[in-house]
Amino acid sequence: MSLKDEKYQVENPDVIYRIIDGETVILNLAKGYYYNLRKTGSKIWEAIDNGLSRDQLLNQLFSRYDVDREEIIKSVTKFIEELKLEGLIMVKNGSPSSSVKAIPLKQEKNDNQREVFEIPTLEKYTDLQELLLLDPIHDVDAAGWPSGKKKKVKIKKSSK
Amino acid sequence: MIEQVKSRKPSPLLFFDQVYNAYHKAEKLSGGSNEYFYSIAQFPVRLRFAGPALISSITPALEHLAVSFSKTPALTICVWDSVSTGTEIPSPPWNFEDYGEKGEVRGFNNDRIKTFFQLGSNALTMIDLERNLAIFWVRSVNNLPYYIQGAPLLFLFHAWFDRKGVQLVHAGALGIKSGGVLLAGKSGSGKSTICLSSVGLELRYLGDDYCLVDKKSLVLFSLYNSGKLVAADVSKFSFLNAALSNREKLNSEKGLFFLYPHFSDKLLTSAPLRAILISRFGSGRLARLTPASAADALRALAPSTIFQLPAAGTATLSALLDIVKSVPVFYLDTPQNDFEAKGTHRIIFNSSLALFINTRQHLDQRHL
Repeated sequence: MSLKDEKYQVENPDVIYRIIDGETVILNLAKGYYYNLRKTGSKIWEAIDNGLSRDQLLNQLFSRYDVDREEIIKSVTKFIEELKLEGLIMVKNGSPSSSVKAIPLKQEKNDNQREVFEIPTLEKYTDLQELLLLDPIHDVDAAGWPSGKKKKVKIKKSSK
Repeated sequence: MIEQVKSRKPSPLLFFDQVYNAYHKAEKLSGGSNEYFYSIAQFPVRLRFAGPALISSITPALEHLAVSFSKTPALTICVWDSVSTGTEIPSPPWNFEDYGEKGEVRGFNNDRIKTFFQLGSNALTMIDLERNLAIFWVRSVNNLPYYIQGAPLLFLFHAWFDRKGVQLVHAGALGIKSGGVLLAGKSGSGKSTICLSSVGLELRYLGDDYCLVDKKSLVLFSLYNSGKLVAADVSKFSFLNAALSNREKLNSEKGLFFLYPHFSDKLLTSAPLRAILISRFGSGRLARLTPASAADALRALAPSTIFQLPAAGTATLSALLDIVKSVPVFYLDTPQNDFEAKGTHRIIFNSSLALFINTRQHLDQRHL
């Protein structure tokens, strides 16, 4: 599968999300991170979830936004790479994109109006990671029950 | 031919019954059970204690919801410890790697049985959702941290109320009889300060950290009458002195208050949910409400609720989404260095917020 046909999936049981009022709130249950996507980023997420390939997505963005194509390609590629790196999406193996009926991107204005392209960004929050038990259990009592204290995990500085 | 190795692990139900049998033994050795009854989100709940050791640690936070007796409790929770009852609990039939990130024990959770182990308090929580029967065990009462005394049986309440259409939410709550607000926000954003500063004024207290919301009727229910403040702030709340439970431990613990019984008339057990306020520190001199989006509310409520509750996932996210879509949302900006727990500002803030709840005004920018 070429890069342009690349499709993605978000069916990772640890990644849950909801789209509300044009924003996407994403939680990674295994890592304790949460994320926010606004406007263009949220639309791209929804498109990915609807099965659009990278190429289909880009074509829809070209027709929707009055902005240089190279700029769209550059920012969307960077955004998708970020989503992959965070483990929020993964490349889907399967049928080529041509066999899938593309679901158009959500549009806020009517067809004759070009929308403002906002560079998609992934807002990442790590401040709640300490709520999760991420350290392996070492100390147990004679009956086998954990007897240690919960260790605080080191909190990386949040991007927000 | 590969020989199939049979798992020696008991089923979740069988292990539940083994622990339940151990509870009965503990109860017998302690001379019988001590029973306490509560009305929580309008459901009759019975707590059975094997011996007295854990009673004073578990009941104070729920005492404002106590009722004298219920013939038909909807949920029974058996509470016990091994040290005071001299009764050993069966060894865990799972391995180290079966402890999940949020305390859920892998392989011992199904539609009927939920099994959680909370590291820190080292408490085992099991619930049989079919029999409406739950078990809470710790090795010793000395293992129970102050924060568990402030919010006891939290995992159980989440798992059980989830099946009853009631969502446990990580948020504070304030209100008057005609309506209440959820106060969401990050740790350290002033939720507890705002909630506890209301005590004694027009607004009444439903909780500073956790509360329950009926998903259908959108009624807000108090769960705990406790409140926590960082030790440095305790002296600013001298009017709550009578409710402070751990003055001698403030060098290592947050100040833990039980507002019942000293401030029982300042507590509210339920109110219709009118709005969600997202608490944050602002730069202005006065507290201020500004409109926020449902997405802002979801971001403020969902991660902290879901990350700390085992078995909370996509269904909890959907429930919280429905709640945030149903009521208006505002940012509540409070001055970082100037929000006094007493004095004129506190009184003006309190009555303005009460007026806001009462009139259900939608204002673009409201100085409180």
